[in-house]
Amino acid sequence: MPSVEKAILNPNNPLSVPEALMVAVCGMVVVFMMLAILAAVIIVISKIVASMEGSKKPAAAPAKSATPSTPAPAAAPAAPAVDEGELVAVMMAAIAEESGMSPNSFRITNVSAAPAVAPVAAPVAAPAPAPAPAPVAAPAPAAAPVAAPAAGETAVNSPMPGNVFKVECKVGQAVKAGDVLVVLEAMKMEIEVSAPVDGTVKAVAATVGSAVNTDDLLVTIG
Amino acid sequence: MNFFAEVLIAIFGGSGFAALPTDWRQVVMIAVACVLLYMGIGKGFEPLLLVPIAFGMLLANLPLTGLFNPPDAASHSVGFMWVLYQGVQYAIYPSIIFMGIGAMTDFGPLLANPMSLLLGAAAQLGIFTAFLMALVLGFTPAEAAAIGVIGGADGPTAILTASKLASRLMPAIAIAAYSYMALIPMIQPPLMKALTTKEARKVKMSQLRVVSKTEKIIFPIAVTIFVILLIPDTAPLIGMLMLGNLFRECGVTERLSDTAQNALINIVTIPLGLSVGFKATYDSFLTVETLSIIALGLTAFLLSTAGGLLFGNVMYVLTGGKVNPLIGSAGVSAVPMAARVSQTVGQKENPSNFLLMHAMGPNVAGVIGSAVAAGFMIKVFGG
Repeated sequence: MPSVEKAILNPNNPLSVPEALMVAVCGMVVVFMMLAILAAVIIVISKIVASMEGSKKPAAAPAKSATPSTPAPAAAPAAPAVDEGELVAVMMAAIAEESGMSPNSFRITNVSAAPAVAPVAAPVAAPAPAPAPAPVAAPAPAAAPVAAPAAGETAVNSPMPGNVFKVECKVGQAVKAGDVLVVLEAMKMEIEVSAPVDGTVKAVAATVGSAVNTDDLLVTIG
Repeated sequence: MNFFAEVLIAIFGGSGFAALPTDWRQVVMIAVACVLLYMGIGKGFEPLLLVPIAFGMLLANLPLTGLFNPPDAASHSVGFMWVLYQGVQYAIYPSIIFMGIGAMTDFGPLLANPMSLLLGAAAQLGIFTAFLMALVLGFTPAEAAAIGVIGGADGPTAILTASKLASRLMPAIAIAAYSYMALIPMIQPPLMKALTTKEARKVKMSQLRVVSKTEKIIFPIAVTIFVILLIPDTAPLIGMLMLGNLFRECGVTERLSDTAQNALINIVTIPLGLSVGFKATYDSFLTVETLSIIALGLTAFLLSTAGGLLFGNVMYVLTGGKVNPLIGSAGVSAVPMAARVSQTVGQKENPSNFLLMHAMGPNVAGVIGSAVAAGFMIKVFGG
């Protein structure tokens, strides 16, 4: 039971209309003020943390901003699934670099040589390749953003962190814009990721049960 | 033979069957409890809460059990339910449940977009408007405040406020709060469509920045310091919420985090549900007040949703169309149901629209917002 001594307004006596309105308006203002203060606190914290991390390891900072989804090297072995998508991206970028083609010319070649892309993706998924640990962290930041446009294909990336619940497409399958490609599970909810364009599925990077982060490659459509 | 008859009469005379006909309302409450059990078991309607609540209600309305007897020094006895009820009376259970919620919740989306805190604040509108309406209906100010908090859509907060301000009405308030949380997917979408334009619903929001581990660790500590310094009455709720979240994020207490969000929250839900149900005795529950609380709760809920959506529209306009107003309705604190509804409604409008993570920001802000609003009410009315 409320105690009258502790109360600002007597909890048992009826309030007058202005008093009641004042309580409601004050309450709303207090809630807004508190949460606005909290927002300010969060902004200040994130600024401080950003500057601290920026000065601690200046080399890592720009890479981080380039590809937010890149896991820290230390976390890589723990999250093999996250790596797969990246490995595909890295490999695609490596193909582009080795052949010395500019992204534009690569696009044309790659579309005609489409079947070659699928085999690249397949072996990646099966054994975790030995050479992965060291080089992955370094080239990935530069490579990942290149991969999507370089391929001349549409990369369907994960819109949010979650788990792959179902993969509803196969390599080589023709899809229309709006067809469901992958079903993700996040917050105990199934979320359908559909094809943005018409085309053929060139590669499926998502495997059922694996965890994905925002922007991880799920499917490539050509 | 005479002795045998006497024993039979004594046993039957002391049984509940003899006491039952004194009040027909007791029979009605037993029937209500059975219907609620059916809803939970047969229909799967929030069974984890409803089954203990309904069973508590059943126990409470069986006569002569003495389950709620206060400690009696002379006979060294105490009612079992009286002991369990102390956890509600002194706000132990809701706080422990908040620790579990903290351990379950990722505050990342909120840290990535701190402005969503304002949406969480706007969605507390229903608390204060329902408070005014409850006053009009003749509830005392303290009772009206406890009823208003249903609009925060947060079960533990509603129970805590009710236990401090209006323990008489607590069962009705708890049942109203939990039913509307379960009904969110039905209650919110029509309002969301009515209060937003088709164009605004299609807005795709830019991706959230990635929040560093350090920020996630500092956040619960900073919130604890700031919020509790400002409104000390929120200490049990916010303190435990943030402790749970610190367990989750700090990386060295995985076992504690796991216990808080699974085993502990389940352990506490059982006595909480039983105690809440046990307060629903025939003389306190079968009243017109209960009906008006249920009606006021729904209104509070709708107004909170509307408040969030309207502020979402304000942000949509202020940011030049970068914020989808649908995430505003997630400002009511039912985590993560309200965020899921934003996702579903948004994706219906535009299949490539993924609002879930954006809606989680206002959603967890709503938890903090309703705890602050409850703290304010408790402060003003001296709970």
